[in-house]
Amino acid sequence: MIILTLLLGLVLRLWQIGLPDLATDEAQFILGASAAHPPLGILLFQGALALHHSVTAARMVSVLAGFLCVGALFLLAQRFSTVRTAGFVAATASVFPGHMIFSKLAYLDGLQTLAWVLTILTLEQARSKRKEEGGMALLLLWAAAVASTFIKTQGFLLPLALLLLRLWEMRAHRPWRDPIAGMLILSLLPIALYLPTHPGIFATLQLYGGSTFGLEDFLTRIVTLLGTWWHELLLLLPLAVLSLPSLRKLPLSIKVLCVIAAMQGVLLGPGHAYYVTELVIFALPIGLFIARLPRTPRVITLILCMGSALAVQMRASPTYWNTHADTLNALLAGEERIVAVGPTGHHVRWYLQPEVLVGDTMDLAHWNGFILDLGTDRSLPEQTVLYQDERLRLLHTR
Amino acid sequence: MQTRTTIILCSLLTVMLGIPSLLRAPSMVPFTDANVRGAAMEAMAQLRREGWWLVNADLTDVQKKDDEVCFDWIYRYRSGSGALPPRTLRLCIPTQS
Repeated sequence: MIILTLLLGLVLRLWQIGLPDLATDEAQFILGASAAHPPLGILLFQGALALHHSVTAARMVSVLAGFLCVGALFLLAQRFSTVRTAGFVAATASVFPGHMIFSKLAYLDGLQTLAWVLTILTLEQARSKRKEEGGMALLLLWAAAVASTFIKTQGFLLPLALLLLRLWEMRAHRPWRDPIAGMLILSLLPIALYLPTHPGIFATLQLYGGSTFGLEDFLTRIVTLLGTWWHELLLLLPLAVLSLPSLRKLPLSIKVLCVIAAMQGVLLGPGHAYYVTELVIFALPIGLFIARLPRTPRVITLILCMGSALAVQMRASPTYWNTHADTLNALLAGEERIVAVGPTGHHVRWYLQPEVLVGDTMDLAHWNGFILDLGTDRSLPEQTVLYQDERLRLLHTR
Repeated sequence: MQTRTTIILCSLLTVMLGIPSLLRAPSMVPFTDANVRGAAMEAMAQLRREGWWLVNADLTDVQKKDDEVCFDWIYRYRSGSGALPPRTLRLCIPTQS
């Protein structure tokens, strides 16, 4: 059953990668158009794009990170359990719906999750080594922790939490001489310099502050979060709840990551589905839980996990731009620049050949050219409708 | 690899990673002035009114004068078709002296 589950996860993670439309967040990252995050993840997407200029190439970065994450979770589980139990952890992770879906899209969360899991793995390796032979483990810990901090803005949360945890553990043993704490401190310094010298990050936090970030309207956030988790995880959600007692068998570092993964949804946006990616860390307690079940319930549970993965995969994917972009570009042939009004996401820039200007606050009274109306209440100058469907209108001002 | 060697190596790598941010620090100094911060918000609003994507505008210089603050950006537009040649944008916002 472990092999079957892993194979299904492998197939689903490679299934129809290029099919869904590029989402506006994905377009931000692959076009390098995000001021909200540090550069490492964005550079990796752009590197893939440089090798092959396609959405599939960019998304393969996430796919690879997803596979590596499943492997890292297997290695992590092996440190605290048997190979068989680690197999159940890897099997659960491979079909974990939220991780599976967002590891096929060009979001930063697949990379973030991999970096966080590697940070925990290298930390536990460093802890188990004697001081005189731990040099390589410490180097890997530093590298994984630095990578964690430079993929998404909130990436520093795990190394910081692990540092505080380590200082607490070593409080009676001269923590300032502890090499693990030293590595974690060093890993946090570059991002501590990066954040204040890149004001776009704080500007973005300010732009989305209040309604999205924070704890305002806490109960509504929790209800929204649970709805998001249920929609994205299906039966893996109640399974994660049932497996919570298994967390007792896992080290504190893993519990810390479980808390961070769960809380970032509450604090940073309960409706943002991509935050379920990091919840794949719960494959650890779920795998331990499944391994202890009698044979028949164990088989049924794995079948239900596979069923959840299939059900999430079979949902209809948005393909509007993939099927309509050519028509619009034919109408815009030879045009250098157009104005878009309405909810103009970065994906519009990916699909349209002319340069797109953001027209929502532009004075369009004297605009002479094409306007792409994505749904706006603004009155537009006198125009000819060249194309219209249920999603947009392409207009030309007279 | 010995622990001491690793600590030295990681310290050096940390410094190297921090250098690009340290080199940007002087360009942040003008923003300690409230007038500059206020003018920056108006400049960004003006960029939006002209239709530019703010995330594609990299601030390169801030010049504070007696009655105005001038901002220079390099604008790099990228799309699915590729990247357009970078353009220089300059906005001067009047301030209260």
